[in-house]
Amino acid sequence: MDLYDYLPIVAFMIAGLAVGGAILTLSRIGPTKPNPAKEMPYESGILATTPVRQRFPIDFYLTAMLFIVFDIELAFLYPVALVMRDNGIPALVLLLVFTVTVVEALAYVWRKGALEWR
Amino acid sequence: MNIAALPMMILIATAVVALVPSLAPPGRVRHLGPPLVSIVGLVAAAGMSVLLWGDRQYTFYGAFRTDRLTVLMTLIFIASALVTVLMSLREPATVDRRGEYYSLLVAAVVGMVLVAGTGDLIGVFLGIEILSVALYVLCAMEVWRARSLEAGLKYLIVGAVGSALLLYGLTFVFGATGSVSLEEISDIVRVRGLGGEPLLMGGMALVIAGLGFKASAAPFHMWVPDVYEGAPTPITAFMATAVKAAAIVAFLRVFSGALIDVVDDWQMPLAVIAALAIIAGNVGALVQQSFKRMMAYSSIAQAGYLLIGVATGTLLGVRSLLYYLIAYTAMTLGAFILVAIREREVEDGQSIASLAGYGRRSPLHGVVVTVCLFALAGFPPLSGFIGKFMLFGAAVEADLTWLAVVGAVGSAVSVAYYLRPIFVLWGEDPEPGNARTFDPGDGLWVASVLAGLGVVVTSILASPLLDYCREAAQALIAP
Repeated sequence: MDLYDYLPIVAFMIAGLAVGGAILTLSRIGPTKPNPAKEMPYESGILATTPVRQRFPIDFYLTAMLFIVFDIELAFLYPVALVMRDNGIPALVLLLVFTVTVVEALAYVWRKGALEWR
Repeated sequence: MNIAALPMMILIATAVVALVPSLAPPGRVRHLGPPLVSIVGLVAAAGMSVLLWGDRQYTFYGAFRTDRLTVLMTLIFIASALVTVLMSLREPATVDRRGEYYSLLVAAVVGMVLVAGTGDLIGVFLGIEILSVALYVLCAMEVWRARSLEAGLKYLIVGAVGSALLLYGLTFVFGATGSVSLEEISDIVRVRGLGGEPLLMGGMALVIAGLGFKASAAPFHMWVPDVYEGAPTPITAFMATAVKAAAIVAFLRVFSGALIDVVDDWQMPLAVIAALAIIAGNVGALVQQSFKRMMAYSSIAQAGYLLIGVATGTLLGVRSLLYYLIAYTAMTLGAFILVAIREREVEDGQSIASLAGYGRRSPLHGVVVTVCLFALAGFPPLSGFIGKFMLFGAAVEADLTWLAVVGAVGSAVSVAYYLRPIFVLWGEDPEPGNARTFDPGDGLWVASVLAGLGVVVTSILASPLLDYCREAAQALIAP
């Protein structure tokens, strides 16, 4: 129960609060001289011609989410493949249960039209 | 993997299979398939659980333990889900999203069963996450209503904060003890005498905060009124009963189960949180005009009463808590039945005023709601009174008399807002020319009868139920 061991954590917390607090305070009490060149978004030196915040199709988000799910499924399949030979049929059954669940999710997504690009 | 894993496996299979009929072309299969599959699966899992009542069994290499507490909680979750399914049969939210709705509901039950039967800290977090994510979507199911989307979003954001705190706390507990297994943690805490250890105390504080979010205990209760009001009414009933029970059993497994030897460290914080929840919930409910919001604040107070049972850390406390949990599930489910019907008939159906005279039009539902509200208010000889009496007695026995006093005063105050809808219900006549008439259908009727019977049965059969609860409590505290 030696509290001295926790000194690094406390030091870290104080440092974090100090840096964040200093930045916040300085932004409030510091001088403010806005200027059109300073307010424009940074585009590596060139001038922005199109509006920065545009609406984009939500299909991007949907496709990314579906990719994540099936990629994780793939990541789970690799370790099972490594130990499959030693565990035989029970491992195969469990693997099939897992795969069927995800395939059913794929069937659902397919049927509901989430794989169509609009 | 042995037979003890079967209820959870059945529930997972149900959640997966419930989605399949919704892929069929529009017709009877698509319309009736998902609820039917869910009901069959839930009943099968409940039957399987009853068979498992007995000594502790381990499965999944010790990650899942089935003992009497697991079985009891599984039955509570499944009962709550069944009544919710019955309440939802005519809900507009389930018209085009039937498969998702019922599948997510059963998936939430899977998460809850995992929390109830987990053998390690990872299972606690995993179970809480599974049920939370399923509920985030379920709250937002009525996408045409801004309130519903708002409820889902608020629940998501606040729930994510709660889960993050919970996980952080669990890692601290792991860091302090060196193990994730709940049994090993209780051994290590006892053998090494980790009372007052700063890392463990920090972990416990964060876990209390994280689970407090899920259990809707003050001061983590800010999300409850808006989410309960905005969500579809059957989902609100489900959240008020099953999710709260899951969070409470998580408290039981981690604190009264694994960390029981450092009870002096966590007893006072939990007692204070229980007291705050009782005060905040009861005071907040007094001024509500909407029935669902009133029930939301009342559920905050009920979480406080339930946490009294956790804070005592004694066998009697856990036993009273389990009995009150069974009774509370039945009472709360019944209380929501009328709102589920009324909000489909009248624009303002959520408010208490819209219930005027409804008791005369639908005597069955009126009687069920009246009995449930009386039980919630703690009137003898109903189960609410028995449960609260035992909880406060357990608090006194554990030297937490001040907590029992707070609970009793809160209970007295709660009579005011629980009885107001009853007077409105049986009081003035309904205004003529109400909007659409809505045929509740058989599902709501059966749900009503089940809830009413639940309250009556838990009141009459209090003694045998208390014996079962004692056995379940012993299974929790036994090494």
